[in-house]
Amino acid sequence: MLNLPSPDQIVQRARSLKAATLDLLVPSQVAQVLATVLTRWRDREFAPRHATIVRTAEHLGFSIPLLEESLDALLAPFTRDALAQLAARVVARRELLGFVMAGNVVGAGLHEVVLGLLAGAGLLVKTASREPWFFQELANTLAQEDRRVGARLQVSNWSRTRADLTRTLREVTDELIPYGDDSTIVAVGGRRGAMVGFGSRLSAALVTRGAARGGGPAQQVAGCLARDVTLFEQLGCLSPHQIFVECDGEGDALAFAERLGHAMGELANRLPPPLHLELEDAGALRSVRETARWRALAGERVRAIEGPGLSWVVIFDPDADLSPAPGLRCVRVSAVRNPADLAARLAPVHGKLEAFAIASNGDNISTIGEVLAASGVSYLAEPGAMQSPPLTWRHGGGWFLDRMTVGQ
Amino acid sequence: MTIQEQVLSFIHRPEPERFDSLALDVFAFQYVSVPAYRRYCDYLCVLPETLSSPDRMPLVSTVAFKYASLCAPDSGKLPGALTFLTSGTTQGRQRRGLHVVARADIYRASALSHLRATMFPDGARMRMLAIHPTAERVPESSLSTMITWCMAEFGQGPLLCAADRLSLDVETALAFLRRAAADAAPVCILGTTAAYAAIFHELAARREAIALPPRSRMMDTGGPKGQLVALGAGEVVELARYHLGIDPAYVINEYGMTELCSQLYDATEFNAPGEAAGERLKLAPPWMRPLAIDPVTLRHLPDGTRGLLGFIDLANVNSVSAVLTEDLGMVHQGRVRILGRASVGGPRGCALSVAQFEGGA
Repeated sequence: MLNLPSPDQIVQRARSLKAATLDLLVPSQVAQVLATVLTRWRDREFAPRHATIVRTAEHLGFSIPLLEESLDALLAPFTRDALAQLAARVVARRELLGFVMAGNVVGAGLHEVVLGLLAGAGLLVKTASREPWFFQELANTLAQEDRRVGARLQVSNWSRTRADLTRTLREVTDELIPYGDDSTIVAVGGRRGAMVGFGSRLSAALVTRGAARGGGPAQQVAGCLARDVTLFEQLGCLSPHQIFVECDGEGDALAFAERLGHAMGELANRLPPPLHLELEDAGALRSVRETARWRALAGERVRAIEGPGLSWVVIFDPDADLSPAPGLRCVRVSAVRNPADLAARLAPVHGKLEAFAIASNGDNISTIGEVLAASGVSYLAEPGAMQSPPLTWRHGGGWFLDRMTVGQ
Repeated sequence: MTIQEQVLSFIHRPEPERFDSLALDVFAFQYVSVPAYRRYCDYLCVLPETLSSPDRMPLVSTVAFKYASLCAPDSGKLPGALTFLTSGTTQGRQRRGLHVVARADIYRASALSHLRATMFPDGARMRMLAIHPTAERVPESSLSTMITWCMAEFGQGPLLCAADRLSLDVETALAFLRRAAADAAPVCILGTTAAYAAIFHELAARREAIALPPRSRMMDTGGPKGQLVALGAGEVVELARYHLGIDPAYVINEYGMTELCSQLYDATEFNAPGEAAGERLKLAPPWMRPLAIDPVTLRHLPDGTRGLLGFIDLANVNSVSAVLTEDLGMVHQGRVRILGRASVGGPRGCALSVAQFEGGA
């Protein structure tokens, strides 16, 4: 099924896509087609989706329930209405865009692919060896639903040994968009073909003083944030790495960490963790746990609340600044005194923040919003909705959205 | 005989069949004398009286040396005790690990005995060039101490240290090497891979090669640490041959760390004739047992299986002998293949590495 092209075939596909962009489809028509296709993909019984999930589960060792719920979260915002509204905002772009997908999150890049299709661009997508199925199956569904829209999306896959094919992709596209880290974008910039991309980002959450207190509501918040952490095995830029709890002492933060641990454990029963881990990932997770363990043994106010093996861990580290975790259900809980303290804790990753969930009873919300806006957060979310950004998500700061749309 | 004397005796006259029983005795000693280790063992419910095999000794992560005092109380104040700090380049909290070596004579015996077996199996003594600062310049560096001991033990004729805490004097180092070449006197060079990279870079810039005499040798350590563009192990061997005329069998990479009193060295045709074909593996001394550990279960993995590297180092008798590193590797019949390092890394997000992108992962 995987589509391994030769360099000549990439050139031919580019020509074919360019020709397809001359077909004057209006965005609202494309939106209708996409709505139909993505409605099918939201159905867990839809055969291509099921096949994608089964293959991905086998390949990555992720559990099928986890992948099902993750994909549900990603696809949820792609409603007919939302697509129609976005279609009304796009500007026509009869160009050829190349996408190099990362593969750490199934379907990552869908927002930009949909935007590109609505704008009338031709899209040449190179999938990752780690997850080569989603966009291929989506393209097949699209082509079956509407030949003209389907003609604007071509998906290929090749391995890291085929640098010649990646070079060709760069040469034939008007713009190449890698889902890569900052060093990737710097390293490949300045070569033939424009180069932009989505750099390294991470996400976090805040539970305000009011939301942290009270058993039931706080447990509900913990459950929602546990889901945000767990979906996609915490490997995407929307996955929270750290949860800050606003409190005067540390008691509320520790209590929330325990609630979160409880929720992570329950979720691990419903959405089982990976059956096997890559050695490098397991080593990183082990390192995080051992660090927490030994800091605690040394008398620091650190505590690891953990599931069996390396399945999940909540590390209560009250004074920690925001820093990346290894993913795979590893999250820190820290205490902050007020919005100014939060700003200081976010400073080390200034400009690297993607999403931020806020659990609040309305307390201090405008000040917190200012802090997060100043930190470059692109998506403010309710707990439990971090993995479901709207179609107007300003991913990576919004450069792609701004390029493809007009108006608010 | 104290447990320390038993270990020292083992280092001088290894009896592999005694390793297990001595390791259990060392564990019992450490359980009693190192409070932080005892707390950890109690947490794991592993007690000396119930431990039947050293393979079940609780392994202490190298990160523990950053946070806990893994030695007997006040052992750092004993006469002759040494205190070493890690280089502080590991990721995460930028705290430096600390290893108190209460008996420097045991560390010295371990370091020199295995250096003798791997770097000087021919019994040679020769000129020495350190391209890493020696102990009087960086007393908290275990590598500096080891280099100093090596120069004193195996050096003969001119000895030079061309580095201080902040820099390497490449010009002085090259002058020393040119003189050795002119005198046809073999030389041993000791330093980090990064320091060798600086030497090679300078020689390449000058289009110069120094033909060191046969039996010249070099020990490099540290791998990519401190290098902007890391030299691979094969590149080091090749560049040493090209720029310095050193026979590849005499280019020996060391694997060691502040947290361990014993080191491992490449097996080559020089120190393991007839046994060093193919990819280089590292030789541990008889008083150190390398292990590949499953990071999930912390259990030992079978020979040839990739895991986190762990060691039971009897020379660590006064701190903790069972140490779990953050390095990935595998063990083949007691020899070690280093595969890299587990890294918490930076934010991944929608991230590909440069290599992944360039290769179209």
